[in-house]
Amino acid sequence: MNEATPTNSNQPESVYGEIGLWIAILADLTIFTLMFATVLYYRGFNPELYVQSQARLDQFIALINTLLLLTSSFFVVLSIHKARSWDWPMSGRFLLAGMACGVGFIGMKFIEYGDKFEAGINLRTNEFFMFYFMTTILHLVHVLIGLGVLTIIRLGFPARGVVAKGRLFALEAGGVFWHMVDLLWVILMAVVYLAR
Amino acid sequence: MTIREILDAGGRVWLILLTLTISSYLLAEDFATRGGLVIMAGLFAFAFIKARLIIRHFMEVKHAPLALRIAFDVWAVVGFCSLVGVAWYGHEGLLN
Amino acid sequence: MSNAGISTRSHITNQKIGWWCAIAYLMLFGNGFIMVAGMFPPPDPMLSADAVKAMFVDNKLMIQIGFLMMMFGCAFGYVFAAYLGQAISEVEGKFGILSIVTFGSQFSTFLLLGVSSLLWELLAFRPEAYDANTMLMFHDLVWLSFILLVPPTLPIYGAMAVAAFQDRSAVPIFPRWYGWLCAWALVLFLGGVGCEFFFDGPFAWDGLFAFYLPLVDFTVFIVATLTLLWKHIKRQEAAL
Repeated sequence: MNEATPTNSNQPESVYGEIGLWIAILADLTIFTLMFATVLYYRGFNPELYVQSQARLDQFIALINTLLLLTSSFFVVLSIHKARSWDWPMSGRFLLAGMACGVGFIGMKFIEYGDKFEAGINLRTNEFFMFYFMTTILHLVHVLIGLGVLTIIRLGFPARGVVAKGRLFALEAGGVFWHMVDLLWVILMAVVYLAR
Repeated sequence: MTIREILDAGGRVWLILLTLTISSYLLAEDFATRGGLVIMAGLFAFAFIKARLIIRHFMEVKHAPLALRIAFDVWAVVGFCSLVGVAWYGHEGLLN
Repeated sequence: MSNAGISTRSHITNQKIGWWCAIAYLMLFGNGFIMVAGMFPPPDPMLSADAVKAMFVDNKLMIQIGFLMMMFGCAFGYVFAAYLGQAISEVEGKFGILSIVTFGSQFSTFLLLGVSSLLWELLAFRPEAYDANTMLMFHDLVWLSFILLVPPTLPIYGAMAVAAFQDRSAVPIFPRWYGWLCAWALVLFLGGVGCEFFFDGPFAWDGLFAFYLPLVDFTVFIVATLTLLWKHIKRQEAAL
């Protein structure tokens, strides 16, 4: 962390100083928690429907997806770790690996949706599938936003020998958002795929 | 990069997260039958423990100012309690 | 603005007019839609054709007056759109892409809201004479257009977030936290786009995620925006 301090901006010194980011993260977590509570609330009216419909989901794909996102988050952690010791080439490789896991997640999601559509299930099939599609699609939008942010950060990585100001900050802030996407999926999996 | 460095940089947390994920998958294994409220609460507890590990270690909130740490812990506790509470409410048939 | 025909003082006055037009549009929308037309809470999408018809026959005059207020609200909204676009152009230093997007997207929102209100006026014009099923269809149209207005408004929040993040001035009009607020508002509005699929539940047009949360979201956004803009006007006055 020798020449790291960003200048020429109203950017705070550390990612902890970016209060807006943290409030947005907490607000998003709260909204998703509210949505999960709504799922469980409606579930109370007709638990049998939920249990039967849930049995038609592919829990194994969800498990693979959780492992993909956790691994992706871990690669981003390693990327930040390397960037802090100013090893940008290695940091860039870890970031790409993390993004690859994210792309894998999207691929798995499309396989899963494809299976559902083939089985004649869509978001109007019943109340459970309404929640299933709406929660997973809203989460998928977060994955796409996160991947977009990580791509922009990756494109801004310093070329050989050139240290760009504020890069570490952007990487840390993007990482926080990406970890939130990961943790939303962890709770989504418990509520939508596993809870019986 | 040595194994040791990877473990210290968050690898241990990652391994714990993988273990917890696979455990909760196995805990909920027979997906077609209706489990009890206890199993559901256990699954949510696993999920929020994982969430907290991600917050503390991956987002590095453990080094953050106190207010931020408290805010995230409040979210985790309130979130877990409200999910279990709503699930309990429905489970007891109080809605019908 | 030194070589312009309008003095700086008049420019500040015009900004104040823009600010008060925002208050006027919020008052007309809030009172017209909620108090007079009685559209809060929204009617159930499951209502039968006859129930929809009865609603308009029974409350004909109030609905007509309420949506007339909405139409006037749109008139004030155009002025606010211009003011907001101008504020972003001050951040940009010129009338650049972000200002044009903010203004254009805001403008089109009020245009569509005006058309939406017009269709409500149509429903209340002579509901006794209309066929109940046709009324049901138009009633679906007004509510879907009202909630599905969301995607065309999203560029406002995107452009304002980018403007807040890229601003390098010492005293920014829109600080960084406001950029995060806009980004979060944008994401939260997405919950509303499911309303064309559902008649019931939290994603239908009278549901938590399609109606109430976007309403809270918009309230937070508009209060923050107007507060920051007022502070900016006061700073300009102090610098005179």
